[in-house]
Amino acid sequence: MSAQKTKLKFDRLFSEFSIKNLHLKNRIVFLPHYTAYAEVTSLPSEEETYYYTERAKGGTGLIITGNYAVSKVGQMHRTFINASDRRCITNFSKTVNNCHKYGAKIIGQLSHAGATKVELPRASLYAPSQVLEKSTGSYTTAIAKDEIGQVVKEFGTAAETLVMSGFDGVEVKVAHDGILRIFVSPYYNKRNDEYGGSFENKMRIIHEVFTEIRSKLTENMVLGVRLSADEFEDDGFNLETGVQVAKYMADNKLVDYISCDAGTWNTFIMQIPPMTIPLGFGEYIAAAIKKVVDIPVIAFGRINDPIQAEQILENGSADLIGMARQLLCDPEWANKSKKGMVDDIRKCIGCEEGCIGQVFLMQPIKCIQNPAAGKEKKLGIGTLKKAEIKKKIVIAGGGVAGLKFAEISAKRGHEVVLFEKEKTLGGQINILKSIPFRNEYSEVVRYLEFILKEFPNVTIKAGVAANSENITSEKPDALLIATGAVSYIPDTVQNSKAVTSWDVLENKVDIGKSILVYDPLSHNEGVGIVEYLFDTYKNINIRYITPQNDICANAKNENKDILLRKLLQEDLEIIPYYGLVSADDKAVSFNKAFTDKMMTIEDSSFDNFIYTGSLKSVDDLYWKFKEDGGVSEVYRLGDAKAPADVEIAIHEAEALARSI
Amino acid sequence: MKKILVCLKQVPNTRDVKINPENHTLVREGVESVLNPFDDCALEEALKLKKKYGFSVTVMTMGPPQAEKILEYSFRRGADEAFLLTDRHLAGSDTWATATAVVGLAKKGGYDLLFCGQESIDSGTGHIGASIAEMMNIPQVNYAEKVLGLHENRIRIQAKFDKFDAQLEVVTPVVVSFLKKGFEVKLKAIDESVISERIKRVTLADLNLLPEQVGLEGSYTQVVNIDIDERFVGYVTVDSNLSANERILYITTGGITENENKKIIRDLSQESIEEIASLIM
Ligand SMILES: Cc1cc2nc3c(=O)[nH]c(=O)nc-3n(C[C@H](O)[C@H](O)[C@H](O)COP(=O)(O)O)c2cc1C
Ligand code: SF4
Repeated sequence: MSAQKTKLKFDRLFSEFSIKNLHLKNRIVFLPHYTAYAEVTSLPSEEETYYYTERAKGGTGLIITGNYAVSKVGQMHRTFINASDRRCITNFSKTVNNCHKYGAKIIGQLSHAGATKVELPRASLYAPSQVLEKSTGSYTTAIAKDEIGQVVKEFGTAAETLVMSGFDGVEVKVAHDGILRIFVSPYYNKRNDEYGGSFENKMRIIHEVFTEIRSKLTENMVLGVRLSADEFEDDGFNLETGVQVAKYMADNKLVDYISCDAGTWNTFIMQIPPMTIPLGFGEYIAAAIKKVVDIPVIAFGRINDPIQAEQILENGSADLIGMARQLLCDPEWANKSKKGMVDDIRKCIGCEEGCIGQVFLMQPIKCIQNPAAGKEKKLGIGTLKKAEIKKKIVIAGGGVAGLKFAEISAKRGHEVVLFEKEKTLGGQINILKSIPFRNEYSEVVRYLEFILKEFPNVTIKAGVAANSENITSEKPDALLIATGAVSYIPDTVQNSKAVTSWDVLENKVDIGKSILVYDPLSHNEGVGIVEYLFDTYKNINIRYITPQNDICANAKNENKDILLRKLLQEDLEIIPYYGLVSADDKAVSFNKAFTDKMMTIEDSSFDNFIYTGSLKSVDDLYWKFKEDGGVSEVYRLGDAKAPADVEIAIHEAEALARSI
Repeated sequence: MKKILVCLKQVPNTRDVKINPENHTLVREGVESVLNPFDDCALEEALKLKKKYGFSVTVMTMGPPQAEKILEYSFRRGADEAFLLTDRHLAGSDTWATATAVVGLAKKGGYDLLFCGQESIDSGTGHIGASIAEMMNIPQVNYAEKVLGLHENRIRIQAKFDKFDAQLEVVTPVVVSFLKKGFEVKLKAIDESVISERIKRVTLADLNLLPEQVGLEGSYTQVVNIDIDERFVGYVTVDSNLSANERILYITTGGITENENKKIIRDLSQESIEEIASLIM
């Protein structure tokens, strides 16, 4: 069955709404997130303006920017905009005006980093009490009363900058990071002065900050809170307290709306939920808060589908639908949903690789699927122009790189013929998606495949392997080799039980009880195969050996937590620092890093030996056409160039296709 | 020949039930009504006995004329006789008043076996079978799964309790309340033109009951507020009393435990969409 064009109507999502006097054209909210697009001087940049303008153009009703630090000490690191600096007003006003021009309203988020910092070395980690800050392993500084007074003032000063820049409102973080939530937290707040102890005391600083800000705002500006309603930590607070805080803030008229959030920097996966967390999981949190407050509530958490968004509104769980990454991934989500073009939406898959992964590296955020994110000026809406010279382009390989290249080439008006040796498109994604909780990667392929169907100038030959004859007979002007990679076992391994992880994922191997996994890279693949094995087979034990210092040592930080949460429940022995020396049918030998120490594992002690993480490019067609000639332009992309991740395949494909 | 009476209730099809967000009550307008699935199982067990021993099967329900639909359905399933107890005084009856009315009808017929569903999917009190038995002063079996056999005036029943299954033998007349289970529904070809005429409509007066014995007046309980089980709202709620790690794991699995034989499909590919569609159709 082929995907059909669905046309749906989302009456609730596109109904108007008001937060106090702030009129919104629809229920779609771009949730705040730090972008690191700031200048070195911690001032807002041009990229920042383009970034938000793009989401306004895309039809978003309310944009919440930030977060902006209220002072230098309040920055998580220097790429955070310091809103106390009045020089911000120039670019802030541009952003505000642009968003207004496209009918969006805009609110700025303020925060003081408190005990959460990314900057190294970590200095001045202010907290209610001195404790060990678990996410960074540093000790906090117990804040003095006069310093609290200072922080409250800083919030006021920074709010003034937003007022002067024309923002429609201010939002303050009592959320997963920053100084305010930790005053509510039983772990951080052990004070016995008027800022600790009773619930009212713990809320005192929050009360002071919001009152201070309110005094700076104009009559029509709204004031909201980003509220982490459950810390998801054993020594933290849970939803009951979260709801209590929400009710306190609403009852005391401290805020005009509540934007839901969860987790802390120690429970990262609840704060910025990865693929493992179900889509729209946070609905129950919004619903619980909505029950006790009479002000608007924004739902959050892996919402990427307008059907689900509409359902959340219909359920009465929230008034507004908040999304961060989905609009990062596809800024035109609102406009597409409004037209009912649900299949045209490029959905965020919660991979964490491009966006939040960058935050830890103190680098500008991006999206693996959307090369234009953060580069809107160059690659954003309306920048893709038809090619001056129409060419015939042949693509060998229908994996991610080939498909992305086909999409951009097709949009530029070229004639495209794509060969894929398998009947289904997608290449390695089809192997990857059999690993538990990785299957949303298939969205990358679903989207591209769907878009390509709309173009009459694209011919897809699935089930036909490209070869020099069929390529030549197409008479291409340009040829792209995107034939991917294969997994292989190196010559040092002569053990007959040795297989690759692909063999396992493709169901070609009988799995026994005792399994040896060797992972030279300690990247996503090794941990993926371990996860897959435990998920698929019962009562097995795995010895995982790596020359690196841990399992998933080189996997992106933010996915590690959830992987370990699952794997450490299993019969898994992790043996770090051992590199493979040789393997034959008697035994497998390893050498401990930096030593002469050897470890030998007898062949009889395991049933399977999985050698994971070694790939090599399939690039013979590239060298053939490059050396023999016949086609004037020959290119290669994706794993055929060098085995790497989805992001590199997509971003390079977009750049290359725009240049042809 | 023994006589069986099966008590039936018409309930809204929960798959269509929506929650009114303003007052958090069930919206039943425009929602299709169906036979309570527990009662359907009771009917199924009765029809099995009819087939095996030639017993007669009478069905009854209480409610407005629309409730005839489930009686007609019972004829198609193979019931012999059907009563519709309809009277405006019955409106607002709680489980006690309802049982009073059922007993009025049951006493007229001299039934050996009275079958009910263990509970109904729209209120789930589980009171009816027990109340009937108490009022008639006869034995009762709850959580019945099936009838195992019958010998003279003794009936053997398999029942399922929390920690064990039991085989119980009781003397008739007896009230048996059945659990819900899956079975293949077989409909008989019958004369559709007279199906509605075959239903016997009775009122309170026919049963020698007084208006004050039923309805609001005859009821001990009154529903003041309904809190909808949040599972009906279509999202997973998480128990705050669980430990942090348990809460997180609960969320990752969408609230499904390992012991439940459920499949988690989390994928947007066409194949998966088709698989999901085939599962829910
Ligand atoms: C790169 C990145 C930075 C973020 N920074 C902030 C922030 O500064 N303030 C905030 O309240 N939330 C921040 N968030 C959290 C998002 O607002 C949002 O709650 C989260 O991403 C879950 O929503 P989503 O699934 O729609 O992305 C950030 C998220 C991302 C991905
Ligand atoms: S990088 Fe991944 S998680 Fe981040 S927005 Fe893009 S698809 Fe979503």
